[in-house]
Amino acid sequence: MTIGAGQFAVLSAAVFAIGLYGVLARRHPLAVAMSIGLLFAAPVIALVGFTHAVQAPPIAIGDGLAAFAIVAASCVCGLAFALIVLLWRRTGRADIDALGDLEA
Amino acid sequence: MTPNAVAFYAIALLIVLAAGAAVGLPSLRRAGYAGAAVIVLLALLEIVSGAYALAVVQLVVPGVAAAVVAMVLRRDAYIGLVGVPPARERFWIAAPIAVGIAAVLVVTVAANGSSWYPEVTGHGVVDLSPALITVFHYRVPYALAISVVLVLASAGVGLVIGRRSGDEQTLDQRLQLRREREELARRRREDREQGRRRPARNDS
Repeated sequence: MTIGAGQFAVLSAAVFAIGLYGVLARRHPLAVAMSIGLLFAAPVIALVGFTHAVQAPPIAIGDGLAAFAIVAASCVCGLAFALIVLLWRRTGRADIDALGDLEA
Repeated sequence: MTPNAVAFYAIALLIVLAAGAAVGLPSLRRAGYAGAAVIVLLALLEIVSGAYALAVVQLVVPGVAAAVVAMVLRRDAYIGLVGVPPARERFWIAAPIAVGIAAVLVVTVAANGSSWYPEVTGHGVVDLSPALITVFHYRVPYALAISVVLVLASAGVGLVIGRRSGDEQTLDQRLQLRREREELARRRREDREQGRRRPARNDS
């Protein structure tokens, strides 16, 4: 049995759905930030599959884009964490609904 | 390199379980460990698929970010951020949306077949007809350059957002002094009340 891009795509969809559930369901901002990280991990899985499971020899295009996605995900999560720290200091609450209490 | 089927399915199952744990566990500390496990498992999947350089990026970049977050959360001022009891989740809204999106993704991939990625022709030559990956190929160097700029910019912006300003430090010090004064006043009040009660007991 060989593994093709379809299997990677299904795994990617599963991880994306789990991350989306976390973003919508969880209310702790750290949990939401972690779920956003999962959302970003999903396309990386798909890109790896499209690049390495299909092409022989693989071209570096998919890897380059996947590396960019990983860096972007880390940057987004880092910025989200900075906002969470700010939220905690200003409101003393760890609830995504407390974002409305932040004033400019 | 086509990945080994057994290794792929084993790692895929572990990734789904770890991702579910990272999202579903009520304890944030354990959820964090599960999130770290997802990162390591993704790197393993990339190694199994032959993307060795990407596996290194997968481990190093999020690893550094996670280490910084862990260092900040260990400080006294932010330790309470992890220990907050979990709020009620919005399961009935989130679950149907997530399942629906997953179904749409799977159906879309199944319906498109091989048009998402470039095909290998009969002689082992990659057919670079327009596809999800090939339309971006000439932009990859730019993407890598932009990623470096992105890291530097986000680190700078993160520091600016997260740092405590001079006003905030002064305010925190005054709040701390006020709390100490109130605590001292409360103790004195309690001592006075105890002192008043004692002679009353002796008289009776």
